This record gives sequence, structure tokens and C-alpha cells, in this order.
Amino acid sequence: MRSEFDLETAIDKYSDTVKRICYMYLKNSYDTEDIFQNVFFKYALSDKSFESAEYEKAWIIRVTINACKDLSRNYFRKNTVPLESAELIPAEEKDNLEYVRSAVLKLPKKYKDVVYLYYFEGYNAFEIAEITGISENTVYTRLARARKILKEKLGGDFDE
Amino acid sequence: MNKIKSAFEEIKADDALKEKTLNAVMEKANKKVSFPLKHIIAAVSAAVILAASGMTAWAYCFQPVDYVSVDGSVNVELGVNRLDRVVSVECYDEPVSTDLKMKKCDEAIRLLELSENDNVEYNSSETAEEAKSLGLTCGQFKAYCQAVEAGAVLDTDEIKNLSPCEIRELAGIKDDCAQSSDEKTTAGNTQGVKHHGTSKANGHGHHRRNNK
Repeated sequence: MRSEFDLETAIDKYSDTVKRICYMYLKNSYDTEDIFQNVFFKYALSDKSFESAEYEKAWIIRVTINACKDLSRNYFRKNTVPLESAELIPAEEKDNLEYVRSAVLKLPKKYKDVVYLYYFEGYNAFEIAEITGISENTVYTRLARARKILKEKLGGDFDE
Repeated sequence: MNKIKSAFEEIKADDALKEKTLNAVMEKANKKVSFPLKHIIAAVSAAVILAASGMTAWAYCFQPVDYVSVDGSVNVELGVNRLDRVVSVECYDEPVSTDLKMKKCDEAIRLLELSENDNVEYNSSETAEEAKSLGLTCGQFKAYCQAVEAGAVLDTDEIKNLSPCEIRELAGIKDDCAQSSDEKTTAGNTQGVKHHGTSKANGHGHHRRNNK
């Protein structure tokens, strides 16, 4: 098991990444808390030694995506209405890019993680394939389709 | 910077969420680490139950409870389990060519192709143990007991290579072996040997093949 110091360092380092992935998949802050605890509990118990910080980050992203998908597959959650709205960003922090986030959130589920990993995290298709467990060709296909949808919605505001 | 990156930059985990996560994870992890004994006890209990059931199954399937001793043209002792299957074959002279293991007892005896003056005896495991301690088959042991009862003094080492009939002859006991050999010509069906189980008398069961 990792030490409290290691855990705290990891939480500080990767919380924003985990929160962004949760934002794309989940509907309320209770689920986000669950995911945070699941991901970092797995990290705390894992004896895995990472070759570099990049590997560690990729591991966190993969575990978070899987945890979010598992949670959203849950029958009970699928069939209940969340107590809160889909919004996880406090109203006062909303900026003029809300429409961009909204367009990404409205993408089909399978395109969201590819778009996030490519545009936000800056991974290439090969790395995305490694993280998500899909083939490189599928990554390209999903990216192309997601781009098409985003261009339709965002028009000239969507810069690749 | 692309707009997606700019848009998602705004999403950040607040300190309260980080702190809550750290506390919850540490509490959960400490609980898990502080109760390894529970897991060890569960694992040991499971291992004991598994071993006990495995040993019971082994004893039921592979532990002989009765011994069938054949003395005559072949000298062999078959260990038979609770399911009436042969689980051990001990030959005292030439090995038996047929594989008798896990055959039904009657089937194994039939495969031995015995002649009519061969002795087939059913013995308890106690009798077999006694016979083994003297280095004799059950048939030899029984003949030896009869010889001792009749007052003969025999060395067990000397009778190891004798058939039960020969031991009885040596002790001067009138035996029906000779009669049996006379009746050889009337030998008929060799089937029909039934497992009579362990005889209560003297702890020795005895069954002579009836070929008439």
C-alpha cells in the first residue's frame, strides 16, 4: 500500500484530470465523489511502480474512464433521475465557453473520451488506443466523426 | 490553444473534494490493512474444509475397506473400496497381466481367469493388516492360523512361497484342495463369485469358488 504522502501527492496532481472525466460522464457530484474515492483507493492499494509520471497519469485516466463507464452502466443509476442538474461547474465560474463544453457533452458517449484525450490531454491516436483499449483505426474513425459533429455545432468556433 | 482545451481548463477539483477523498481513502485503506487476520482466518478455514473434504473423498474412493485374497494359480490380493471397486492390487509372485484397478470386484476376479481349486477369500482390513505384518497373503495367513490351531509349528518365512493348500498339507490338515483338483474335469461356469463382505466369524471371510 502507498503512503499517505504518495496518495496526497497523487490527489493534488490528478484531481483536475479525474474531475474533467467525471464531468463528461456523470450527472451529479455524489457520483463524482464515488469515482474519486474508487480511483484513488485503487491507486492507494496498487503496488504498481510506474516508469514515469506520464505512465502514472495514463493509468489514472484509464481507471477513471472505466469507473465512470461502470457507474453509468449501472441499471439503478440509468433508471433514476439525478437530484442535481447536469452542471458541475458553479454558476459564478461559468465562462463564455460553456457552449463548447455543452457541445462536447452532447456527443455520443463513445466519442467523448477520444475527444477529451486528443484535444485536452494532447495524446495521439496510438496513445489513446493504449489507454482506452480500442484500436488505433477506431480512434481515428471516432475522432473524425466527433469532429464532424462539433464542426456542425460550433461552426467556425471549432478550431482543430 | 484549441477551444476545447480552453473550455475544459475551467473544470477543476476543489480543495474540499480533495480533502474528502484523501480522508475517505485513508480510512478505507487502513480498515482493509488492519483486518488481515480476518482474511487469514477465512483462508485457513477454507483450506481446512477443502483439505478435509478432499481427504474424505480420497478415503471414500481410494482407501480399501475389504481385501480379496486369491491363492492358487495366481497369488494376488485385491483391495476393494466402499464402492466395490478394486483400488489396490498386490501380487505375491508373478504380476497380473490385466489392469484390474477401478474394476468392479466381481469383474476383476473374472478377469483373473481362476481355476476351480483357487481360493477366493474376502477379508477385513484388520485381517489383511495381520497377514501383511507376517509377510503373508490373507489366504496363507488363514492356512497358517489353521496349522497353528492343529498344533503344527511353522516358520512364516518358510511358508511364504507355499500356497494355502500346501500349508495345510504341511500341517497335516485334510484339505478339500485335492478334492477340488479331482473335480477339475467338472469345472463349469467360473462366473458368479459374489462379494459376501467381511465375515464376522474370526474376522475372516471365506469363499471357495464353486464350480459345480
